[in-house]
Amino acid sequence: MSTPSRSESDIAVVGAGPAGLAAALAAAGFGCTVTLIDSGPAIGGQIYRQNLLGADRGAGAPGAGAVPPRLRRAARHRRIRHLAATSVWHAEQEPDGWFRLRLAGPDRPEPEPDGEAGGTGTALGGQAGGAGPAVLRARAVVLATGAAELVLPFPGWDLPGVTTAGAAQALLKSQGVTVGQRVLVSGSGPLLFPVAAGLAEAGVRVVAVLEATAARVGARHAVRFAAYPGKLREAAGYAATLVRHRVPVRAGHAVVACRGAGRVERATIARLDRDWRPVPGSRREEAVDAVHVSFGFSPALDLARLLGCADAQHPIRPTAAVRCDADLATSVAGVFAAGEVTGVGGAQAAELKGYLAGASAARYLGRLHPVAYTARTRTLRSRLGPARRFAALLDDAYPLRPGWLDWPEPDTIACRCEETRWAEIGRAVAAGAADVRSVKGLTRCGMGYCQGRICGPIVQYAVAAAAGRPLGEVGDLHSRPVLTPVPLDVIAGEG
Amino acid sequence: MTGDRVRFSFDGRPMDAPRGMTIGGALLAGGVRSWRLTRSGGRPRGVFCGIGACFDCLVDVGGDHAVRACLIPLRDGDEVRTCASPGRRE
Repeated sequence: MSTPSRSESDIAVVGAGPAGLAAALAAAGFGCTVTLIDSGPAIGGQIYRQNLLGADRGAGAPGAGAVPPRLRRAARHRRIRHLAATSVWHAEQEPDGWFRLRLAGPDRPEPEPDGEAGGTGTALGGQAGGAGPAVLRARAVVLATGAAELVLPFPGWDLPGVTTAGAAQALLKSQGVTVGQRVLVSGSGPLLFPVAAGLAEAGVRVVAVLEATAARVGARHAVRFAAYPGKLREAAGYAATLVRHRVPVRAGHAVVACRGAGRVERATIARLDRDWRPVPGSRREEAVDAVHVSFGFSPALDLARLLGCADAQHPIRPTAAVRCDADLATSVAGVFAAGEVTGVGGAQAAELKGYLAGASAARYLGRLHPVAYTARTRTLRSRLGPARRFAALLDDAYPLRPGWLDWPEPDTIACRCEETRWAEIGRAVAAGAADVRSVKGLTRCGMGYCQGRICGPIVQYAVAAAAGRPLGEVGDLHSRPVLTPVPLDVIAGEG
Repeated sequence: MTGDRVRFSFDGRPMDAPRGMTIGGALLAGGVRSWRLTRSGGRPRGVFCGIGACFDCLVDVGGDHAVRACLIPLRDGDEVRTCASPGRRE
């Protein structure tokens, strides 16, 4: 590996979804130099996912059409440098107050282009993977790391063909690939409809959409939803697509088990009571070749925690968000946050928060006078109110209920990486482990490749329930310093 | 290699896929659902999260061991192999 190159900029923005793009644009607009880092091949994040096959190449760069033009400007702003296919694997604050981010290129770097030593810009303005700096120093950081999907375990959830709903959507949007031809979409939350509608449009037989939350819970919040006509129109569009393709939607149901030899072949559907316990006698089987599951999102806090930012436990979900003040400053001076990492609220709220965090960081660096900051962000902050209320509405409309704890069997995998069984979690709690860290020590859950990203919320919820303690009191699976597996020579190359 | 298709192999079997796909996308498009065996249980795994977070889709390709199939672009001539007992060799 070549000598690590070093680099400095005023602000490091981590994540190039709507929040990160907006933050970069706002900060650059106030004269700051910005390095925008994202693990994806192109800007847009998970929501504005680009088509990798160049299906809409006519619009310019492959898939650029997915990103709204106002945000796409970030890819060619002269004060914004975009590092694509780049992960932050470590971050710390140095004695001089600067933040030092250690970067890794893709798992497999692109070969060096002939006769050209430096990085080449990608079609979307990013630097070619592997050509970026290994160390970035910045005076401020904006965390826009987004969220990962929350999946609750059931027997057979580790069979090939069972994926997150987001994975099904990502594969379809970016590559036109479907995992199965006869599928179920199951879980809870507003993602189920667009995923099922997209699959149906692509010719997949969606046997049913199963929303664990009972219809009457949603109906109770209908009046509050009426305040968001845009969101309702969007949902109605997906619902119409499902009707057109004769896809039934079953509220108060879920996939509670999958079976198959080496891959999912049959799924068990159960009706759920109001606490999500399977109703006795309601189980029936469907032959399927894929099941796509989602129970909402979990903010991606690895980097925030590494930097020492305090977080706030969600009152009823096994997730936490970065704690921010009204100006999106975290508990660490110089570190700001925007988007889903500050609490799941959707793309519109993420973009608004991004502009605010970018302006806030510019003010912190003295590029924006406090009086000007207040004036220039007044409208933004007023628009954030409804966005925050919408996030709260989603939490109320799709409550996670404890009956899912009855879905796994003793030998069901709890931690997919370490293959920890559900019964082992229970035994650890019975043996006196009353917090997540103790359970991790006893069972190895959360110690594998994914660092507890998938099983962390599951174990936190299970331990809290078993120990009879509030979610906030049992801790969670904190990330270790190396956030993503990196080759040893990358670490060794670091002074 | 034609302009629109990429030729590769999976466990020695010749396959091809549209240009621009990730390794995971190409395998799924070719009807392959799993390409990893877990360390202790030897259980098959494929794509789960699709966004690089879960590390379920680890695969061996050429000289690279245990890379995320959902993120890595497929290249002409790639020799893709089932990944057993992932643990990075460097």
